[in-house]
Amino acid sequence: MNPETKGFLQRKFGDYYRKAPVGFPPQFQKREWAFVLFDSSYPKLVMRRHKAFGSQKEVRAYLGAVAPAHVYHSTACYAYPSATRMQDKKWEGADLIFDLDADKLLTKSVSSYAGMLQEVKDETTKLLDFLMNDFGFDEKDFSIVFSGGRGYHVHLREKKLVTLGSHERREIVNYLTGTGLEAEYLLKRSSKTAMPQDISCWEIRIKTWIDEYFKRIRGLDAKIAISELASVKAIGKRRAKEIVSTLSQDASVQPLVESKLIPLNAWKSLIREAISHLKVRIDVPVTADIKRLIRLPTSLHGGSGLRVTPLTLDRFRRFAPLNDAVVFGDSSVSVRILTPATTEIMGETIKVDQSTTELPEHTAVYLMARGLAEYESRRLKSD
Amino acid sequence: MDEYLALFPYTAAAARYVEASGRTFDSLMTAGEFSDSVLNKSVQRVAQAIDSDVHSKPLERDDDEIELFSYVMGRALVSCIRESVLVQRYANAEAHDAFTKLRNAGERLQDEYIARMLGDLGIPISADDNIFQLHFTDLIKYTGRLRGPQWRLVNRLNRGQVRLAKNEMIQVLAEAVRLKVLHGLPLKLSSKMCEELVPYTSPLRKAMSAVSLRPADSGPVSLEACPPCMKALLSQVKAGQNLSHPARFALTSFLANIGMKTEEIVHVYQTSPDFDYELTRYQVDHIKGASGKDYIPPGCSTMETYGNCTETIGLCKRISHPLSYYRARLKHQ
Repeated sequence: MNPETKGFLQRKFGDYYRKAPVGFPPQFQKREWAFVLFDSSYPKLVMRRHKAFGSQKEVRAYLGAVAPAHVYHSTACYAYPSATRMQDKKWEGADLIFDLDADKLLTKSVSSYAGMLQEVKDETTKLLDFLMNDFGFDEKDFSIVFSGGRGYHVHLREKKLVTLGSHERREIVNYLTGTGLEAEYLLKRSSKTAMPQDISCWEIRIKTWIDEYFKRIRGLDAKIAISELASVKAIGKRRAKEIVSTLSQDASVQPLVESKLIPLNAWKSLIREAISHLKVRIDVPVTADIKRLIRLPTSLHGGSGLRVTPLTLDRFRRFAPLNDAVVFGDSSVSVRILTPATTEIMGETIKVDQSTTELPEHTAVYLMARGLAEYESRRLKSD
Repeated sequence: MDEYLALFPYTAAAARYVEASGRTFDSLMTAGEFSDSVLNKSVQRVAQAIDSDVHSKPLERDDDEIELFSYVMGRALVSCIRESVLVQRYANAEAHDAFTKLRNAGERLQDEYIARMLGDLGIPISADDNIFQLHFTDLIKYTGRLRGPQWRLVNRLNRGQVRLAKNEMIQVLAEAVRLKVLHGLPLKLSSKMCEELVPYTSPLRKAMSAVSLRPADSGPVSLEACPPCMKALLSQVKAGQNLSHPARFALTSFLANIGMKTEEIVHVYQTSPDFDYELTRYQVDHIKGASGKDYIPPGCSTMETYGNCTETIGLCKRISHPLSYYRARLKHQ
């Protein structure tokens, strides 16, 4: 990234910070702030840490004047947020954070940025369902934030949560990732548990998944159904045929469960299959870390120019990052393309290559921030 | 005096009683029948904590006031000895004691004790017909050290709540006692007070060195006795794979804690594709405590969270820390 491009991005970011209302985390005076600037080492990330601010005005003035590429605050509150050694800061509690990041969770390669964002959004939807259903949180207990890059952050600040230590947070992580769920234990337990309120939400999820699995099998052509069932460990072709015929006679899965048609090992592998589909692929160390830095919601992401966007549950459901997180307009900007690419900003698919010289500002900022283009100042010619 | 206070001297109610009694450190250090009995009993309390494998039989019950004040003085003794391993043992012993007393109480008393302790230790609960319902945040503070699938949230959580049977509630209360005692120690006592207690602390110190209550700095390193998780990490390194950061930290701190020298640990990593001698040496030194802080390797639950736990059967089922596995194996070699 050349100095002109950095200068351009910094000007644009500065314009944004001087006009846009910046959001503040609760108790922002007790948090450490950190910044990456558009300086000579950028895009190498040199973090300027251990800043603290006493008033919102100070923060706004700093952001407007410095126009950083990245803005972070600590998830923790400290008695002395600006102390330079962590042990001197005096930790007082920390938000519970979940990070869903495409880099960490994509199993298959998704070709486009937009496709990748959709997959992360689906995973975030799963997380929110766990938080509301299994953990009993209410919509007002969490805030959802588009990270401006490749995913979403979910912040929880409920009083009972902020004092949890790393160990306890890992227990929550293990829940979401299904770590420690053992098929054998679940089977043993479900045969003993008498009271329905003693069944865990995970058990209910697994049971529902298995019900739906068999419903789907029943809907398939017999031949395909048999071959799919036979591929489950310990079922085999002969049993698969019997199961398919049982399923065709009865609309519910219950008789199948009660019959001895499906051997124990097959149940186990179905349960494991269910867990791998149902678990949430969060970035584990982020949640377990009680002294983490996280992007300031409402700031700009220097690697994309997109806004780190706080969302209500309702807005999250309708959220389209490449529309709704765009803050720049469409006035024309001169660029030099370094790497050909396709962008899909503001519903407009643009293919850029070396012949492209002018782009709408939002797309130009995006490509420059990603290092795919440089800024070209329009020179006056005298000949 | 209310018997409850003598049985459970770490509760808030007991603390209020001690405060209101007007008895001071000085009055307890003044010779007399009562203070002699108290000091005698407090030494026994600490001695049992040092010695106990938690299976030793409970101390004989004294008069209620002696029981209560011997706990108070026991804390002073532990604080003056100032060994973190003793603080832990002491907390374990008190927790075990609480567990035994709760479990062995008759049903009516048991219910009363449980209810009072829940209030005293500030654990909000709704109880109904011997089922105790807790919010998950109140439970996970206490279940970190409890082993077994029944203690994992993943097997119990239902709409933010977990329902416990009475025997489980007692186990959780004992853990709450352990943490309360642990976090309350050591007390800040003047050196003058500790000097006066020397006649009582010095035999206890002797007892400690007799059972070698110190981190194992014993004998040669045995890779054979390492738990399966560490063996797996070692063979990954040998096979030239790069370890994740948590895995590398776990392995390094584990090897350091079983007594491997810096150079030997650096040598282990030599086959890593990204091996950098200076950097590795720096990291190992840092973990080994050159920076003034000793790192203990992560426990089993952390290993599990980061996907580095490889086995949950056999000896692994009975321990909660890779170092405990190693020590247990060494003992039986």
